[in-house]
Amino acid sequence: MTENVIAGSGDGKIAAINLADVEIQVSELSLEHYQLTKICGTGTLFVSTGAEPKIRIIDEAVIMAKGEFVIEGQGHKMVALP
Amino acid sequence: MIVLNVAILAALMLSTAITTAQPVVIAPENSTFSVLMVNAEGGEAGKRIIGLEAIQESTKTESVSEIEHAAHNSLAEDKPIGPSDAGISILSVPDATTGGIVWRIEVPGAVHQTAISSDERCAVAIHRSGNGISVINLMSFTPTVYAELCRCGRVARDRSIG
Repeated sequence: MTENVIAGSGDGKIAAINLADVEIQVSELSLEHYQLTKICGTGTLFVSTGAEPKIRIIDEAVIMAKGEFVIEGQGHKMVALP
Repeated sequence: MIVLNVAILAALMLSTAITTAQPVVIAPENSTFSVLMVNAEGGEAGKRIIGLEAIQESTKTESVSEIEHAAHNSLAEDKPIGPSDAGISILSVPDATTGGIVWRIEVPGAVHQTAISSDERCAVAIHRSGNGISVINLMSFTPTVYAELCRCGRVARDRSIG
């Protein structure tokens, strides 16, 4: 089970780190200036970017996009309500 | 008083003002001065909260309610926090149920991100250009402390936005 997720924005990658065994899973996102928000209880991450008006829904287990939706304007840091 | 910057990146969401049946994600829409409420399960769009654009002189407008106007004016009587040359940004506090802006809070300088303390009594606004932070009392919706730091980055609370 992944217990934490971090992003490395320098080279467009996202990395999930399992804190139990320090296994690191890396995936290419190829997004510029992105921000990610972990949506607790859903197994997903929402990833926004200032480069385009779109939010990616990332499957946390495999660190791959499983959907997306369009917003108006630039995306930025999101928040998941409890 | 001229507002020099707008903290649309920094809309504070108060859980006490929110009643939602399903998990919801708040997605800022920077250039359109709005935030979109999204179903966290599937990404379906919900309510869009608008009106986060720059307000005001310090006069009452149609977009500012009586309570907001009173709150705003009360700030002018308090000693301002932060550098005197920092300009002013506005933190907007929307009600996720109604979509209305219930508070607008003046803070010194451009805001990069915000966070709410775990006991929901305080919020923090990061001012990267000023290398400082503002602490906002969420009981009174007033900024109480400005702290200058060496270099401000991001805040780490999971309910930060912006």
